[in-house]
Amino acid sequence: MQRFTFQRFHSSGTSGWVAVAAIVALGSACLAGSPLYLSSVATAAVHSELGHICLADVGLRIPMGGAQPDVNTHLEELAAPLAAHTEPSVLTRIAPSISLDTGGANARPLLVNLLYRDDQEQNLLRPVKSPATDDAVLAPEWMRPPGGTKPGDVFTLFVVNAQGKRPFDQVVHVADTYPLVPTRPESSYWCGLRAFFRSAGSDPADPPTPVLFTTSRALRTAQVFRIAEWELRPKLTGLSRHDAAVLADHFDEIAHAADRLVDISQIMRGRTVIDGEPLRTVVRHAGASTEVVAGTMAPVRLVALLSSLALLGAATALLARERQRELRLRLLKGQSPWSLGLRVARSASSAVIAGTLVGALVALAAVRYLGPAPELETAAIRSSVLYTAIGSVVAFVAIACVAAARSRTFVDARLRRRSWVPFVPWELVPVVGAVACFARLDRIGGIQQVGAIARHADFWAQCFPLLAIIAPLAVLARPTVGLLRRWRLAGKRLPPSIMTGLRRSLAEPGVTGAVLLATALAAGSFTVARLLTDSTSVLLSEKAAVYLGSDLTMTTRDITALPPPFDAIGTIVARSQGHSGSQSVDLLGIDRATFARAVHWRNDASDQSLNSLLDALAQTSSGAFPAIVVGGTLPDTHLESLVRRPMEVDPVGSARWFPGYRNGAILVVVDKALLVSSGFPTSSEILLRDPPPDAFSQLSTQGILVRTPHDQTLVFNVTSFLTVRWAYATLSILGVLIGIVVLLAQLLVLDARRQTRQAAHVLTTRMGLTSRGEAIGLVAELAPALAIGAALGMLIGWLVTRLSIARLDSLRHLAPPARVVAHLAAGAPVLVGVLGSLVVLVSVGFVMIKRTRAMEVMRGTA
Amino acid sequence: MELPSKIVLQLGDDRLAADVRTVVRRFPVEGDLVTALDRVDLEIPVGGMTVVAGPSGSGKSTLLSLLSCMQRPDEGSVKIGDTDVVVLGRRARRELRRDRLGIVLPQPSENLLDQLDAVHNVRWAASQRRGRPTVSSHDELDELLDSVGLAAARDRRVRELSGGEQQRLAVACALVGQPELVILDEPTASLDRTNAQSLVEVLAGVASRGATLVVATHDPLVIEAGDVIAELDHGRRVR
Repeated sequence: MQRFTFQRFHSSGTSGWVAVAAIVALGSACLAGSPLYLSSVATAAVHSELGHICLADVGLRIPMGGAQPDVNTHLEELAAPLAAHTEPSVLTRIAPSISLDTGGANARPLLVNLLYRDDQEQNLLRPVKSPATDDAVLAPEWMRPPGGTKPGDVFTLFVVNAQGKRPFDQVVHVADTYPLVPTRPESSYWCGLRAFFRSAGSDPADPPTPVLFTTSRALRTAQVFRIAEWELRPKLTGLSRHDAAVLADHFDEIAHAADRLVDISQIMRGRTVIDGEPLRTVVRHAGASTEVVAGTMAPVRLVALLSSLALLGAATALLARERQRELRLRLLKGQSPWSLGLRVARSASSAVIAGTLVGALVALAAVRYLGPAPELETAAIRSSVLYTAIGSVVAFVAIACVAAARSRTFVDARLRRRSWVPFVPWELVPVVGAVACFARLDRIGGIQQVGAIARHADFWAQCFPLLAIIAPLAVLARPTVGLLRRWRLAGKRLPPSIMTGLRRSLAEPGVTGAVLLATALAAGSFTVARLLTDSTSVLLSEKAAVYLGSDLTMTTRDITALPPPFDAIGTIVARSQGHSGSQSVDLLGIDRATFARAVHWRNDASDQSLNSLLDALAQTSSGAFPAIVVGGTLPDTHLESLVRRPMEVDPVGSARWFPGYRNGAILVVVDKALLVSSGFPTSSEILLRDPPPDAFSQLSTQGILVRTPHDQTLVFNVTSFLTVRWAYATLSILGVLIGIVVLLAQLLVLDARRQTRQAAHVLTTRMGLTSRGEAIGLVAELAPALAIGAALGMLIGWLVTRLSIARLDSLRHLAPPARVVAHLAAGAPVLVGVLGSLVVLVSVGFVMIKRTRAMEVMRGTA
Repeated sequence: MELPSKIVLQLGDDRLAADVRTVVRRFPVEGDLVTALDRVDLEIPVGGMTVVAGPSGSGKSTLLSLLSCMQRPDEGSVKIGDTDVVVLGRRARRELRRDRLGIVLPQPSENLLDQLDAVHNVRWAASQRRGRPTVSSHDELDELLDSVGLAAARDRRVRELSGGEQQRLAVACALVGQPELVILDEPTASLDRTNAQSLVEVLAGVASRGATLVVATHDPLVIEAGDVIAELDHGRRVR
């Protein structure tokens, strides 16, 4: 007897199985994508951390006493296996605190540092002549004597010992001069030697100890070179978090080996051993970032997987309905529902496997090319393979269960009896969940900041945005379906094509309602993610600007006005501190003429505009200084400086925050001239708004004494902000995934309705409906649910963001408070998605009805 | 049209092929319970054709679904042979359906796998039987198909058969394996008079050879051919 298999009887088209494969691919992408995305986040966090610090500080540094060439060779051998993730090693020789005689008549010897570093000439701000002779050095162009140093100058380097003798005495000549090695921003090459290029004094006017460079082999093997440093830096390209962790361990091993091999001088002018610990700290920070993203991702992944599973169930149910005749026949012949379920699942196995593979590959490609970093860890790839394997088994079981359950109802009408399920108020579950999560979010906040590092994202608190979108949609589900049912005869006065389409969608209120609400969920998730990311980005800039005063600040001295072009974007302020009663207050002296153009101002900072506040400062009263009080009320208008100088202020305005307002202490803003004249000790700061990248160097070049530049990256940890961005990006991904789910669901519904649609097409074309009318009918059938869903989702998304933004603010203690920043462009992807989906669906539907074989439809065999 | 010897049962058997006693079946409809069968009795003798007649909505199909073990009555008993199917579990009912019953639904296409040709439909039906004698040779297959007038159509696909031919093929599939009871629900409902006449002849021939048929119908042609007539109206047996 010939064995009959399900496949032999398989009569439906391939579209159903394509849909199953696509849905499985979605789930697989979720499962495979999660560990890959987290791995990508971890690697990006490592890159971000390493990108904002001196690599020499996290590399391996072995300071050795003097020249030890054999040891260098041995260290090179130890480092050879790490070549894939490290830069070539660099050797630096330092002869600290050598006396230099410039040869002048009354010149006193200077103390200089003599230094040699591999490739030093290639890493100066301008090309220099290579020393041609063995006694040549490069000298800083600013070095005394007055008038500078010029090529050809001849100096004597010497060291005097305790007996007054000179064990080292060498005449050198200046081959060339080199420009100042900048310490702000730091040169990557020189950053590990910053101690030699910075002034050790507190006065910004003090120059650092001069550094002379030599390339002379004879000179650098001299005993005066008491420090030889071997340095190995991590290479960012291709470095994953795992690689960094392994590298840190190797650094430890090499440092340990070096400890046994060489005479390590642990405290020679602060040149200590740097082992793997700093790099390990970076890895730990990256781990913290990953945990934050994982915490935010967990509820998102859960919803995405449940959506995929629900859609898979719906697709299987639709497929089973499509093949109801065959399944019922088998049941009548005595086959069990479970055997049918297994057969359906077995026949779906190729679709499941294909979907699993495609989903995993799409996730891999998406994370690799669109994720935070392309480097993925092996463990993450292994996890994603395991998860997708489990996922495919779950999909197989789900298909079998749904097909079996669905099949049972084909012969046993008892199972179609009215059940209690519809009466269960299940919508209360997300509502209660949203309320509980809101309470938790309100209590503990969103992503926790520990110091500058994003440390923890509470699962339940992070669930709030998602549940807050789901809850209103769940509440709206029954009324929406009820309303659609009530409107089933709507559109009487509309043109026939529109009325036909509209009625077709209203005829199935459950399906239409589900599409509408799912579209709203997709649009809502995407909107929340977009608004949270945009708002957080703007908020951090605003907080940084308030904390610093503007985009870039630097301390200065002895100037009253800025040179062009900085006069158009900058101002000079004076800072001081004092007491009001028993309370400490900060004082900010501003130049009313230039202040407004140098700072960022948010209108909700004060009930008055910035200009009116500045105008108020010009008011004169009975001897008291007009003042703006920021961040509270002054206990006493009589202020005292730290050295007990008095100042009487007259509060003429108030603000909740103000540029330069820090740490919650009350800030008193007065006119700068008055503050300086009051006798309060002040320090000057330059504030620049939207400055050019080299503003600091330009000001230095123009002879203005500036120090300690601060910009946003120095105020906030960039990686922390990126972590917040990566965390909210998962909500965007969910929005996109649910959008795809909606599209697939619509395609499934189109496919399931194919026969009735084709029958209707035969009828309506005979009644005179044109192709254009058919297309319009399709638009009328599909567009309203998508459009209303998208609009509803964006509205809910905006409301949810408004409700949660302040509570998700991880830096609540810093002004200004969070606000929703909504650009019109934020809604553009949703609109594009809706239009794109509509075009696809209408095209598919149109092609479907155009392929109708009228005769077969009329015979009932189509 | 000769029936193959293997499926001929002993005529004149006093035993009952099925016995339905005071069955009640209710369905919930928009919040109310509607009684589809109200204390109906029916004795189906072994051999011959028992016709359950009545207008639409009288409860014929419900009664047949009870006999088919697709549903259970709310009250009363249903026996197939000596087996009380009411107390059987789902699995046992399924096995009973598989091994001891033949079922023909109203729509011809619902009884057949339309991707297969006629002979393979019969083969497939035979493959579903467990522990029952089934057709095993080409000759037996041809004999069975010949008995329903489809010998010439053995290699034609279901789609290529007319409605009447499809329904006769369905009868052949139901007869394969010599079931104790063959249940036909409105078998002529979608056939024209000529095809219906042809099918009735087939059924009469099958019944005359000893097969036990229960046919639900309101077609006078079928009613006339019945050996036992039971008439239902509004869920009650009126004759």
